[in-house]
Amino acid sequence: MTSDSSPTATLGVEDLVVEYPLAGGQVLRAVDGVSFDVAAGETLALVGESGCGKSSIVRALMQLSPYSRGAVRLGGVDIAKLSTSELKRMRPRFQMIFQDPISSLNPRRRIRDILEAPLRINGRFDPVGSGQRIRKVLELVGVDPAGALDRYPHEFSGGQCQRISIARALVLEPELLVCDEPVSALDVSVRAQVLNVLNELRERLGLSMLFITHDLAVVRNVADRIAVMYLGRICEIGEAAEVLDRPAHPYTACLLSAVPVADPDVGTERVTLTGEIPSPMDVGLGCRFRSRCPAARELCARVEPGLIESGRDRSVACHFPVTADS
Amino acid sequence: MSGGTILEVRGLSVDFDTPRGQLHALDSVDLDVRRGTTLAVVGESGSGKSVLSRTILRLLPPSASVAPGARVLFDGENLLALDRAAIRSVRGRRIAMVFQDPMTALNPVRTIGSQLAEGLRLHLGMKPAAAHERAVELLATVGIASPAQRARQYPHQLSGGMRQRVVIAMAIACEPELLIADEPTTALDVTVQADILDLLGRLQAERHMTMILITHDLGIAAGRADEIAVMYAGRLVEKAPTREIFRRPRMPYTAALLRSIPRLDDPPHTRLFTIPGRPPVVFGDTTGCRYAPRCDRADAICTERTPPMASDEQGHLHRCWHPLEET
Repeated sequence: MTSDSSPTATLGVEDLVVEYPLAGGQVLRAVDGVSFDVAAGETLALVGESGCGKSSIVRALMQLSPYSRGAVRLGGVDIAKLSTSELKRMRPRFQMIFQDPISSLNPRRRIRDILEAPLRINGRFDPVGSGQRIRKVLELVGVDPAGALDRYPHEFSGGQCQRISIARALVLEPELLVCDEPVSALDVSVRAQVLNVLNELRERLGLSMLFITHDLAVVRNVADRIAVMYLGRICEIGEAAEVLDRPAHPYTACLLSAVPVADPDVGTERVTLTGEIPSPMDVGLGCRFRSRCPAARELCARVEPGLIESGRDRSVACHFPVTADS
Repeated sequence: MSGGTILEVRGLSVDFDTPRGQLHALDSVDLDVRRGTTLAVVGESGSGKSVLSRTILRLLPPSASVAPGARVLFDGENLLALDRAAIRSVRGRRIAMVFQDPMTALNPVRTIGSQLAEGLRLHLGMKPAAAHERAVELLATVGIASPAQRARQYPHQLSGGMRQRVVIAMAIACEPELLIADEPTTALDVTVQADILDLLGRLQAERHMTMILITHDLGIAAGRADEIAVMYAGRLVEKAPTREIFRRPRMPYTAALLRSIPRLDDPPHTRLFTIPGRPPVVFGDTTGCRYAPRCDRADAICTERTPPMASDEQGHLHRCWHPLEET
């Protein structure tokens, strides 16, 4: 759908490096040269296990923590180059939803105040229009405004709080919604409700979404494209259905085989990972995944594979990608 | 599998004293667990699955009260009637537990080895040197590389997956007959989760242990359990062999839950089936089926009378006035 840094992309991340200083002058490189685009109306899922750098990417692109190299472009504008006031004007265009719906809402504020806050902060509050806007976003996420506006977050369930968080993110009519594990804390029956709301919003509002998750079945449901991360780098990126049906990177295949399937007659052939995850302090030469890769050969220890295009909108960083018949 | 029932729960009701009144966390639960099998207890938050496991081990907080007639028969002995000393000799030795969060289950200021050895000395009366040696063996059993070095380390020096392996090593140290694993992998990454579940499955088979696996994830239950018990709002609503639950659910709730799971083989952006509303929190006396307000099959009788637990010829238990047909 998109090629590298297309100027029309809603979000463009280019060669992003995020580093954290450690005691003793050492530096931990959590994100090591990551590039991807999110086109208008597209949902990109960023997938990987703890420590792979997905949250660091989110923090960097929300401008919540500094990055040492690379660029984050929103509608073609490099947001690191903006002044504080310019950045503040840009903020309404990219909004975020967090994992824990309850702690992300101020318990002492009524829902009305919570939803008005973004408008007030951005100088867009007006007593008549804002009331309508707030009612509209609540209806969009399936919460009845009449019963909600004068209540407090604790009066709602986790699923409803997550809908209210989504409504708050939508108040300013953003182009990009960054969702950090938005359904991980929810029960099965409620998770389905929230996923349906997100899918509807994408369709009705043409929102672009960056969706962080570790749940591949959720990816299948919400994402158009997927980027799989391992130790700070993207190891595979492409159309979600393609990658999930025919994973090319051995790590993607391992992840997929580890997903528990809710069907007792589907036996999963586990691709078991052996070996340890190398310390991000010391990845050394070669492929980062080689210490745990079932297909690793001698070349993998010497040369780090680049992220190379292997098909239409599909790139893989592996010397020996999984083929259809292996 | 060796037959016989190792655990028999009868008429188990548990209430919690809260500022808002008596909260019914468990309501008349009857449950049998056959020796040497794995029973998965599935349910959403608040369904009572963790209260059930804590009641079996008598780990309820003081605000909880167990109904007078309730019995939890373990190997024929009523655990609810044991005095504190007697329950302590069962807990950790004959029944062990693995909790969700391995970091809080371990003492942060003591080495792995000394924590493992403690149970062995306490329950089995082993001498310190022998207990330490056995602790290292146990670490090897649960798949920890260089166990002798690891035994000298503290919990913070281990990854989340390794900590959970240590907790499992502690749980199996005294060769328990029954292992209760309460959401043992919820805090872990998916590949680590699969490793831990494989480990539990292997240990269970090798040692002929009985396992109660508490989980909210039907996918985990599908792959790991012989039988599945479904809980809803404090009640056991359905219990059957795993394949039966997935192929022929009788409770509308179970069927709806199964349909609301996103699947890896669905097309992208598939609209998921949803259950309207949310599970109730039950205060005071209620009659009728607790799922009735969300159920599309509910009628007058469902709200007036509590459905009894019924069984079909195959022993498939369900608690519903209008169960789904067998197809």
